[in-house]
Amino acid sequence: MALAVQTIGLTKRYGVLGRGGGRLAVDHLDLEVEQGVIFGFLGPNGAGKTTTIKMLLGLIFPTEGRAELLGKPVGNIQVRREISYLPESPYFYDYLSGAELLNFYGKLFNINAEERGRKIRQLLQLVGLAEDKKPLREYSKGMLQRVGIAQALINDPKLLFFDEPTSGLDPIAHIEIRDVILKLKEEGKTIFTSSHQLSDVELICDRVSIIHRGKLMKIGDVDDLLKGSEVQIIVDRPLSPALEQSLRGLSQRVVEQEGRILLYQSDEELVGQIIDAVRAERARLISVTPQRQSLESIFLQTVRDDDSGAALPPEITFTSEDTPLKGAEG
Amino acid sequence: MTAWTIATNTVGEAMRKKVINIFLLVALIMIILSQAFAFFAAPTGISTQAGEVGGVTSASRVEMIVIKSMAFGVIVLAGLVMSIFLGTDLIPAEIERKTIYTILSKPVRRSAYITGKQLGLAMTLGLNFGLMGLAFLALIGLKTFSFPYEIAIGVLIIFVQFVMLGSVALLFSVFLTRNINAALTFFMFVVGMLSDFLLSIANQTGESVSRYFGWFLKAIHVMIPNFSNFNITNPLIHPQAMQEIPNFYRHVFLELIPYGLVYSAIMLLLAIFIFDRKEM
Repeated sequence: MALAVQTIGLTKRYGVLGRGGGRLAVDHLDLEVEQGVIFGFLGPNGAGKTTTIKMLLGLIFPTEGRAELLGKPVGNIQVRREISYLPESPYFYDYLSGAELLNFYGKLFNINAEERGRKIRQLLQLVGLAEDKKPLREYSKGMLQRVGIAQALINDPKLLFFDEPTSGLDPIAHIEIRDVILKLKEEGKTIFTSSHQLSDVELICDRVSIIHRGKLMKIGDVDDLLKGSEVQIIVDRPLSPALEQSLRGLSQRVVEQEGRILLYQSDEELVGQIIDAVRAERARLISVTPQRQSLESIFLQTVRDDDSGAALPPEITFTSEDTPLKGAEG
Repeated sequence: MTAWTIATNTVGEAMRKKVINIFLLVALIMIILSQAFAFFAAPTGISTQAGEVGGVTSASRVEMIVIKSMAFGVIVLAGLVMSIFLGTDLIPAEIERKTIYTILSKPVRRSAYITGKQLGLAMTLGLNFGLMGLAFLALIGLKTFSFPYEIAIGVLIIFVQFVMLGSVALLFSVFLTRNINAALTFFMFVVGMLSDFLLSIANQTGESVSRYFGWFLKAIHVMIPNFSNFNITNPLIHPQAMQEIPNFYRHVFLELIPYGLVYSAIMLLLAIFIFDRKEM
């Protein structure tokens, strides 16, 4: 499949010391994002997410390495006709109405007046702002974010960059924006989104990457990443002391429950041996379940591993916003 | 085309800035009130036959001088504030609010963006100077029952002067913070007003001024916009003083205005050069 985004050794170093010194914001980042997917770009604050997005958009320039969007080098004016960007908490000209704002952005693409008018009506309909004629200064944060998405769609882009698209939104606006993103995917668009809302990312993204201190720590399909290697085996008591000792020996960890014992093992062969041992003793096997990890736990583990077991930096905090929303699946 | 879209949008944005609106309003009021000030400043008593100049009495002549002086002064002051405020604010405000990200990530060349901003700045100043000029023209026109073309020329010259200053502020805004930019632009204006004076000192090289200092002053004279050349309101206020400047109209239309436009264009090119390399 064709690539929407490709970075090769993309590096950004800030500071007056140039190549040899300064602060390394992005460190030889190699990324490949296929077309037609929702790609989650994760990392704690200061990990280099926004810096990477800005390099991809040509807003800042890499110190080393290169990047391509839709097969063309970043900065190419033709590429910019096919991409779009929604920054985190953007400000738009607040004296304009939603339609006037879209008209301004449409003009930047030299879209003719008739086509512009048609697209503006269509997009305002899509984001649920067709009836709003008031100036943007009277919009709520959720409405501003929706008009932001509409401006990002005025050129019918193939590739969209969203920086924290649901940041600071109430649960309803949050779900609405998420649904719009899913709808865009159905239309075949590629969405490259950075977010701290891990529950959203887990729900909507096909692929994710985790960067920390500018380095790519993990990348893969969400399903593959979440598919835990650990298997949970629940066995009913009573068990003979010899069997229990044998099971404990074969398991990585054991959790006691009233009347049951929960065994965890990630080695497939040892899982087989546990099951064989239980059957041989005719003990009661309740269930054998592969464990699915949460993106949050993977994220935390990845960041902690990179910090070499040190305490998390103070900016990595998880609020209630990071926990799955009730009814989010709806 | 994109530069024009940016420019028209800049006008819309700038004309909604409260500072600009307040200064425009105050300037318009002051221009209209200049008549009242003139009333108090004009000599009392009945004009004499000897005091008439071209059908205008000495009292009304003084009144006209006061009105013109005050109105030109108000326009210069308003222009100074507007050009510095707009020039220092237009681009930094868009960077702070991240609006620039959504614009430059679209097929908009950075050169087109800066050109649009400078054009928008000039158009905004033009609109404000147009309104102030109209009030001034109406005031003088109603008093003299004639079209005061010299007022229109004066306002045009002041407009070009502040387009130049605005382009300097816009250039600085690409790499300086707002406050430093405002201070430096104002400093440029003051030094620019003294440009001819600095040149006259520089020309005394070998007498009272060292050769190197003379070169330094000449460099300043060339590099900093020569605003002292634009200070020609005196002959416009005192028509008899116009004879002091030979070929006045040639000087205005073939020297002053082209100088202002070329200087602004150079500032624009420098701004484009720096902005092309700027990281957002």
